[in-house]
Formats: sequence, structure tokens, C-alpha cells
Amino acid sequence: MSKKTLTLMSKDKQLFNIEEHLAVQSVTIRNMVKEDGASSVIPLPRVDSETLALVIEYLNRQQAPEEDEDYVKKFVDERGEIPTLLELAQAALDLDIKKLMDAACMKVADLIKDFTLEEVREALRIENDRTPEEEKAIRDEFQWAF
Amino acid sequence: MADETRNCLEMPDEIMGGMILQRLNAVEILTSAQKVCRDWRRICKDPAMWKVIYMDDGYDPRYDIEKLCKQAVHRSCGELIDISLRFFGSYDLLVHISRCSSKLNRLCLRSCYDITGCELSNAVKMLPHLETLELYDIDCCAEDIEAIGRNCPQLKSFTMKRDYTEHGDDVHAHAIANSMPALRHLMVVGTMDNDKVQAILNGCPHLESVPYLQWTITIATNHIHRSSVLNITGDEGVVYNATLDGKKVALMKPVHLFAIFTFTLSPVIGCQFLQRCWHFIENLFNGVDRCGQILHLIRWDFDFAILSINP
Repeated sequence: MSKKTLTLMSKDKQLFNIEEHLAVQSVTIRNMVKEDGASSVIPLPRVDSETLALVIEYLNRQQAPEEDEDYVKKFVDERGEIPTLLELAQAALDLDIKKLMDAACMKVADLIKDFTLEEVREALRIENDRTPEEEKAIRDEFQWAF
Repeated sequence: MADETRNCLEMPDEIMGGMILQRLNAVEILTSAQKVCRDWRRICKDPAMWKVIYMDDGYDPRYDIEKLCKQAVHRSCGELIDISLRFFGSYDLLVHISRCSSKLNRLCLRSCYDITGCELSNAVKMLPHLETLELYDIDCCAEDIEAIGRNCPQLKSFTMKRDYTEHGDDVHAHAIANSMPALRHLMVVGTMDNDKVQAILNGCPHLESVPYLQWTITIATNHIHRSSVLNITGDEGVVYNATLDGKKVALMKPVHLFAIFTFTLSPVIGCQFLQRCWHFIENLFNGVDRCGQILHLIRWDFDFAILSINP
């Protein structure tokens, strides 16, 4: 019997093929396959094509189990951009790939640890949405800490 | 390139709070992360973020660490289960933690020089669910230990060590044996003679009666001239027969057994000790070669030797 292939579709409608026995590392896909055989295309409406390509690269890894921890660490290290890592974490959450999600989140946490507030906002593209009054309230609350 | 419009506000709390912010330590969250934006502030106020508080990785003189700690405990809204303090802490703080955290399961104090054993034994009165207590460089007399044991009837794991001295104190073995009957894990470093080892093995029956729970007994001695030889033999791969100087001390079922011998005596006695240790190791090998092996010699020098056996 030839190896069965699944097709995944990203948010921007690109199609990716992956062998079923590799794809089922994702608990989400595994459940879909169990339920209806997943013969058609599996849509992933929240995952863009660049991120999905990364996820597929990860799922296709040919690692011995004992090297897996190191591999996933290296995998996220090489993609050290915070926006990419967040996309990856989000995709791993949707697809339920725990190791990948843990590693991506860990890497983001490590990166922002030493950032200043402005750097964090910049890296994660967050607007400072606080009014000056709120800023003051927080400063007052934490006055004693400084 | 990833979607340019994506920002962290679109990330589900599951990732941002549960996975990323949770990995920052309490000081980083209180002094920095929570100021980033409203969303992060909301996440950082969630009691679920504060179930585990480790404030043990260094001291930043810019902050009043004790007040930060109180704030962190306050935010847990009573959900705190695990807290670790290092290089700071007072009786006042300890009482605050105890009052606010009736669910506390693990307390670790490391080099908290302002906390006395008496104060500690008082504070833990309010922690009925405490199962793990780890004390490093905290001075406790026998009465303090007994009081701790009485106040925490569920205590299953007790550690008492010194981080910065070479030799251990006299172990208050009888206090442990009298007051901590539920112990499954014990780690003490200090001087123990046969009577004390026997008292602990008698007073803490669960150290041996739960075969699949990992437990550790650490025996340290700097009374080498008393020539204590601990002899351990295996029986069908599970039960160990232990004798101290030929006297049977107990039947044990260890998963891991550590033996630590410390000595700070003269080099001559040290050398005699090394010889004795080889005898000891030979006995270990004889005892366990059917069912286990000595995995590694963790440290081997003139201060102490630690052996780890994994059956």
C-alpha cells in the first residue's frame, strides 16, 4: 500500500501535501482523519502559507526520538523573529502540536525577557494603548517598588 | 513575510498568558511585562498566572523585592501552590504568604537569613496542605523541627541542607522521626549515628512502604573514626536489605538511594575514609549487581562523595 497523502490549505488558499503518517503528529489533524477519513482538502483558515510551510517542514523532520528535543529547539532558534515565532505558536496551537508550541513560546519569552517596554511593544507590534491617567495609576500603584 | 498587521493583541490568551508571559519571572512581570499594554495587564492580573512564584534567581537592588513578593502573592488570590524565595524574606512576609495561601503545597526558602526556625514553625501553622518544605541555610533547632512537623501533618518531603558550609550539622533525627510520620522523601545532610538512622526509619514508615514512589534518604557522617559501614543488599530486584555496622537497620525499597559522606577531618583520616568508601562501594556492587548498577559517581573529592544507584 502506498503512503497516503493529505492536502492542507492555508489562509491564502495555497495547497500543501504531506504524508498522512507525518501529518497526524498534529492532534487536530489526527482527529479529523479519524472522524471522516479526511479525503478532501483540510482547510486551516488561521494559518498563512509561510507559517504552514514551516509547520510542514517541522512535521517532515526525520529525527530519532532522542534527538527530537534538540531538533525542535534548533528549529525555533533558526527562526528567531518574534512575529514568525508567534505565527508558528498560533499555528501549533490550532493544530495541537505541543512540542512545537512549547518551543516557540519558550523562545519568545526568552527573547522578550531582557527587552525594555518600548522594545517589547515594537517587537510584538503592540500599541501603548494606555491613557496618561492609566499610566499614572500604574506608577502610583508601584511607587513603593522603586 | 508574515502578515504585517498581526500584533500580539490578536493572540489568544492561551498563548500570550499561559505560554509566554508565564515563562517570565514574578519580578519581570510586575516591573515590566504588565506595563506593555492593557491586554497584558489584564493577563498579568489573572490569579492563574500566580499559582507558582519563583523569586530565587538573583536580587535586583532597584526594587523592594519583599513588596514585589507580597504583590505577587496578593495577585494569586489564594491560588498559590508553590513558592520559592532566595536571599530575602522576613517573618512578616512569611506570615503574609501563609495567611493568603491556604492551598500552598511547596515552600522553598534558600538563604533567607532573616527568618528564624521558630518564626518559620509559627508561620507554617496556617499552611495545612503543605507537602514539601525545602530549607537551605535556615537555622532550625530540634524544637522548631518538631513544631513544623506537628503544624504540617501532610508533610511528605523535607529537605534541610546548608548551601555554603562544607560539613553538615548534627541532624535532628529524633525530631524528624517524632513529628513527620508521613514523610516519603527526606534529604538531610549532617551527622547521623546508627540510633538516628534507626529512629528515622522507624518514625517515618512511608519511607519504605510505598515502593513506587521515589524517595531518598541521605546519610552523611563526619564521624569517620566511628567506622560506620552501610551495607545494602538487593533481594529480587526490589527490596533492599540494609545494615549499618552489621546491624540490620531496615528493609527499604528505594528507587534511588543516595549516600553522601562528608568529612572535614585530617587528610590521614580522609584517606582511611576513602578506603572505607571503597569497601562501601564494593558492598553496593555486591548488593545490587543483579538488579541495578551504580550509575555515576556524582562527585568524588576530599570533601564528599556522592553515589547514585538506580535499580
